Amino acid sequence: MNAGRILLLAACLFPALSLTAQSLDAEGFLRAGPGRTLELPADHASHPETRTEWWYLTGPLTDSEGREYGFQATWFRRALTLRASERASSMGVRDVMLFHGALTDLSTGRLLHAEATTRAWQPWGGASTETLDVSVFENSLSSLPSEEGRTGSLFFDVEGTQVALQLDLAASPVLFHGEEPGLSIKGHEPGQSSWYYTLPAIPVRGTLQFPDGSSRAVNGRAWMDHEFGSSQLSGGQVGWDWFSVVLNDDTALMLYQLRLQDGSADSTSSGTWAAPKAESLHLGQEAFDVEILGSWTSPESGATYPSGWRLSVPGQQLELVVTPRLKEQELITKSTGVTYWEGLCRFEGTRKGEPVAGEGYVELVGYADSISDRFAPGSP
Amino acid sequence: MASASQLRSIFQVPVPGRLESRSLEPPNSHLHTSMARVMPVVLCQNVSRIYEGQGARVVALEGLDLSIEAGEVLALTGPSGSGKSTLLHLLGAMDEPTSGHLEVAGQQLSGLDDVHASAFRNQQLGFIFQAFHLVPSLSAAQNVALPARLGGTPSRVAEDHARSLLDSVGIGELADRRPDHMSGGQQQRVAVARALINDPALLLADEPTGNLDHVTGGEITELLVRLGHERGVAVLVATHDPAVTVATDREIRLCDGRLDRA
Amino acid sequence: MKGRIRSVLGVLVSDNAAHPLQTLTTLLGVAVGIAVIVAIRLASDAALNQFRGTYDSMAGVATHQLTRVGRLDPARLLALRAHPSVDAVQPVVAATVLIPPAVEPPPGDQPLVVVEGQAEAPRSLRLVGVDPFQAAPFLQLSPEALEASGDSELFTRLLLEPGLVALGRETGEAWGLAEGDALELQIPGGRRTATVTLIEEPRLSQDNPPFALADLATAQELLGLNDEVLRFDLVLSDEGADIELFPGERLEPAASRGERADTLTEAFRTNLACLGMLAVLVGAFVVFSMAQFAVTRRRALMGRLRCMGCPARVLLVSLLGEASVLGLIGGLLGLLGGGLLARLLVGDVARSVGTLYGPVGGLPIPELDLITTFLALGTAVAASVGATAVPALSAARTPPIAVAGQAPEDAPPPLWLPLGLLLLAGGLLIPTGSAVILPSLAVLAVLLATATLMPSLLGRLVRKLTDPPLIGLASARISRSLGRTGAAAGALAMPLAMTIAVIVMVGSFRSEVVTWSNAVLSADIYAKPLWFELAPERAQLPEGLVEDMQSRPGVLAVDTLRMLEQPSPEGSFMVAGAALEMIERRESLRVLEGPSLPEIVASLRSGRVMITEPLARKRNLGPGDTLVLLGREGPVELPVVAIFQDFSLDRGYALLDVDAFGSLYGKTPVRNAALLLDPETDAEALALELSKTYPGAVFRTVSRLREDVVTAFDDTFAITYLLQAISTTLALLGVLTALLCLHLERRQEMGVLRALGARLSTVGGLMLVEATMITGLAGAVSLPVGLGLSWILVRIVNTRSFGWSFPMNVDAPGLLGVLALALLAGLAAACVPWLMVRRSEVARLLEPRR
Repeated sequence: MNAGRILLLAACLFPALSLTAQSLDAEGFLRAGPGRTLELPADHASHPETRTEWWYLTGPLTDSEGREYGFQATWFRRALTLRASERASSMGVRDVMLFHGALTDLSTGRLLHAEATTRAWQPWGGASTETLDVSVFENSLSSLPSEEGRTGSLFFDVEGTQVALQLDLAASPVLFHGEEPGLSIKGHEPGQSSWYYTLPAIPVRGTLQFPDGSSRAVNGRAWMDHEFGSSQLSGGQVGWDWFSVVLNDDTALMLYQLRLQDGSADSTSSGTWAAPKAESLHLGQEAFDVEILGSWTSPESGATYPSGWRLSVPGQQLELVVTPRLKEQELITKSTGVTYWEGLCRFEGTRKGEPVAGEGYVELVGYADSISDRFAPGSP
Repeated sequence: MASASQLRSIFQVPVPGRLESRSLEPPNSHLHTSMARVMPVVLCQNVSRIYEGQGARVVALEGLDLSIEAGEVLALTGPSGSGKSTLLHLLGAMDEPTSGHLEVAGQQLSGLDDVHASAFRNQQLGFIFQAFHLVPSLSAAQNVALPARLGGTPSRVAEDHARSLLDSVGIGELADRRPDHMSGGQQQRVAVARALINDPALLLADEPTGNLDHVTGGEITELLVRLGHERGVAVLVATHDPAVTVATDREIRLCDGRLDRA
Repeated sequence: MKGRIRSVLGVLVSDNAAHPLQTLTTLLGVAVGIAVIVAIRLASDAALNQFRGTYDSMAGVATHQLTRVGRLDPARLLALRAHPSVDAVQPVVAATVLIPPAVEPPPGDQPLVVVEGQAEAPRSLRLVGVDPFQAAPFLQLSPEALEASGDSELFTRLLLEPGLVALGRETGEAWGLAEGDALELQIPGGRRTATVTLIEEPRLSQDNPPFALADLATAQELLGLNDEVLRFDLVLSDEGADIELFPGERLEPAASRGERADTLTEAFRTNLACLGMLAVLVGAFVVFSMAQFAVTRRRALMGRLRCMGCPARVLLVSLLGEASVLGLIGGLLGLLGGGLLARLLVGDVARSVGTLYGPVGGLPIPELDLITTFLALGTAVAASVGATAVPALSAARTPPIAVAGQAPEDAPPPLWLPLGLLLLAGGLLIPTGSAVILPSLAVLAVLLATATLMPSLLGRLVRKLTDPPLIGLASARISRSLGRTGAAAGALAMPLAMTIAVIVMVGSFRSEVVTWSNAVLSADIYAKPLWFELAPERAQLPEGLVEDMQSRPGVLAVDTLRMLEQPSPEGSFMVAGAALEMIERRESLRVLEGPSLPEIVASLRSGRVMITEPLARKRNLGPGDTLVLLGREGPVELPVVAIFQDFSLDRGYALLDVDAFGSLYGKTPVRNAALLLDPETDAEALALELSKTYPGAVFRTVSRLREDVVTAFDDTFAITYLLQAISTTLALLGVLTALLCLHLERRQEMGVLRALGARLSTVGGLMLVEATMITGLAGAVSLPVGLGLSWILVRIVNTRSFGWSFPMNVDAPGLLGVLALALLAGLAAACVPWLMVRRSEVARLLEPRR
């Protein structure tokens, strides 16, 4: 659960689709529903039969001198129509590809970010249906077919700084979210869900190249989300808070809270917890708790975000205090028109009495403007 | 008085072909020579000139009876607005009488078309103006010759005649000078010579001494009288100047458009 | 000082009011001159703007543009984006398309033949296809525009609805289109139908032709250009950025596209500017003539003022002030008139431009802008003050004694003035090169010299003519007022001379073109695409047409021509590839320099190139030199074998054999075709039938084509004739007024003449002689001057602007016609004063003026 929602929400100016029990929506896109088993590496590729899809990576990085960074790179695919094959020009739009990238440099306290949008037309951008290969111009995430999903490479450019990372995909466990593994339910109607899996602990190594030509070798760990579906949200949900972390005991935690207008959390809020090398465990709303410890107001957007939390998963005797490494990690994006907070955070606490810690990411959406203002069902 | 034709034959410089060069004879001209002794040059019978227009009716002349003999030099006097200029214009075929009979040199002056009126003015009349009205870019001789050339006389002939006329008015040496290099008196002499070049029957002078000083004015007056008598030309001088009146043979006084029988 | 000036000005104002005719003529002189230059500026801007092409990006931030000879791959975007100096880049597919008139199909099976060069030019549209995702830095639409009607955002609709184009609401309303209407577009290869949506973006409708926005893919589909783009717009942070270009690519500053169009049309615009200046000169001379009148009539007035103690300085300032005010009023009238005249001229300019550079869609009414207004008023005041300066100086120096006494003669301008101008003209002709401005200035200098020489010439003439009396009197009168009559004569001599020059130049040109078209247009039917500027290399004949034509009975041969625009550092030019059969068979090649025809054909077949005269002239190339062509693989040097003449294209071009062309540029579409028919075949019928089947092309039989050539030629010069006529009319009015005023002045003199016995016909004759002397001399002088000017126009101006040379062909009847016109003008000028004398009693004439 991540910024991918943003594309969905912001681009969702089509009328609210009628809710039916069928697995296809009114325009013929496939809705996420029960009965599908996700298979990797095949499902790393694009699923054009669904309307929305994203590949989202975040993670902490450290260079040889101990400087710390956090990166985020997301590729979205949004289908505008199924009918593109009828057009004479191959450049006729079917899918739109968006990219968001960010790099937090803790040594300077700066956040660099970039975004790009293009129609899906090679070589401008696109998402392969054969293998993991998504790109928006020069920003790309790909895995060679010969590698069969074992390794991948990632490249993006933020404000002149280039991030190039090699991903050891095979080394990470896979979390399949949801009660039915892989099916993440977001809303109360059938079809308001997505297929969702995560590779939470991908070892990465690579380089940061700066505009002045200097470069630094970095390594770290990446969390990769891949989610796809065709209409996931219901109106009345004003935003969400999402947490992800892999702790130093190799356990992984993902939590998301869908917030309603009155400030309370929707019952579809859920999470996943996984022990190392073990199956992921679905956490229903009642299985975890999120307490806000502080706040931060953005001087740019004027929005007030929660800043600092206490997370608890009683079932795992897990208590974590989450502190942003940098308060100013707000992203104001023109391409989607949504302002959100996405930042590297420190997770510290105890599990079963033992101290645990880790660097992870938190995403806060819906604080800058009420998303429901933009697209309540039936509004133009 | 000697007959006009006799005088003419004494003082006239023979100009071959002059008679033939007259392009148009005024009607009744054959009467002129034979009747010269009998008919007056100017004959006005009950001549009136009334201007109507813009709701006003101006009686410039009314019931005028007048006759002038050849060789007579007359002064036409009267206050401003008495009709002097009107009478001159009528006599000069520059205007038509509203009623009455007007004859100059045997020529009826009513209903003349432009061609005949122009011929009449050219051949039978000589004008002398208060402001001289010489053509500034022509020499004195050219100015004098102009009416002759307008009448069809070849320029060489006309100029020769002009020079002799200039002699007779006393400024023969100024023949090639331009008017703007002459005094007022000299210019008026040129004008007099010009008026005479076509041997007219009638000279009309409108305040000829008005722009001249007393002495010069007297000279011009004397010139007009002498030439009138010598050449048998009727001269009518409209004037305010008593010196002129005294020099002339007769005075005709107008008052409010009528003859003033003083 | 100010108070005195004001009182003097007051006196001058009343003097102007007392002489309305002269004052009005002064105003007219200024107004007409200004009206002409304003009208030219507005009309030609309106007509020529659409070739500037800088209006594609409405935001206008693009600093550079990348284009290519041949297909431009959209994938190039990635490399451009990645370049550090590139701040922004967007792909663009933009072209001007014609909107065929919505014509009712004729009844029965009559073909709908689209006639090119029809009186009503078809509307055109600038179709701009952009990628909405990348257009943001370049294209800033208003928020209202973005909220287009319908359920979805504008861009989403443009992306998804096939054939959807967005028009400005104003354009839609002007064309009677509603939301959702179909719009037919004429493109090579046929017609495509677009669907219209109307948006609230006034900028789309402001330019000519108006814009239509579309998605990149939609534009590609409508234009038949799938999978390619026509250019990339770039914002470069660094002017001298070193961007690696592929073969055939060209990177140029965005403004230079407009500059290219400017160079293209420079000759045309210089021609118009020259005509405009002529009108101003004529106007200035009319003003000068009237100023001289003012000096003369105010002599006593000036004398009185001087007697009252007014210093010369004050008089001068007041007079110049009066001139400025009159200039300003005249200028304002001229602006008004110019706006109206522009509306009239726009059609003619469009026709001229259209025949030279391509059809111009429906033109908007030109609007006055601030620059034009300031220029016009500035010129008006400057011309008025300049024309009045010398007379004002002489008036200011009037001695007090002038109160009485006669006016002295007005002196003509000193001889050193016209002689100096002639020397200047000669000097301006010396530099060689391609600039047209210098010889045009030389033309103006010669005209000015003529005008300033006229008074002296007139003076000399009248001094000679003294017999018979009428002529002598007329001469005397003219020489007394030489400054005034001379100036009027000068004003007339200028346009007459220019008219002769234009008649000779155009006549020579025309006869050369006719000769050429008879010799060279030797096929039976010619086919070309319904012209539009997609990119010149894209104008092509419909698919399958050539094969169809080849297969028809009666067709002996089909000669095809391919053409594309060749970029080059010294300026782009066209390159054509043709099969040489027609030339061989019919020997239809007009060679200016080079070997015999068979040798030329053989050389062309072996890979050489031949060029037309304009190109040869521009590049100073001749047989034996080499020409660099930029092909697919890179630059190639080819030897030039010959120079030939082709009037069908105003720019220079190079011709290659079709195979050589193909190997250099690859497969390019056929642009023109010529058919050789068997003598029994009915060419007209075949042309008609082909038009019916292929609406994207125009078919002309050779006789029609030859007519078209001549019509196009005449259309091109229509505007020249019109402007000439305006200047000549103004000058005639000046002469008329001058003579009329002179007669008014001399009313008393007329009276005296009448008193002396001059008949009306005599007086009329005097006036006629006087008038005819002036106009006749002007006409007579205009003959040699005009011939001299025509030499300059033919040998220098024309060769530099178009690059063509042709022999001078003097058309005697035309010249005599001009002379006759001058004499007739004299007749007319004498009429009015004569009528005035006729109507007045002699007594009235003699009355002294008040």
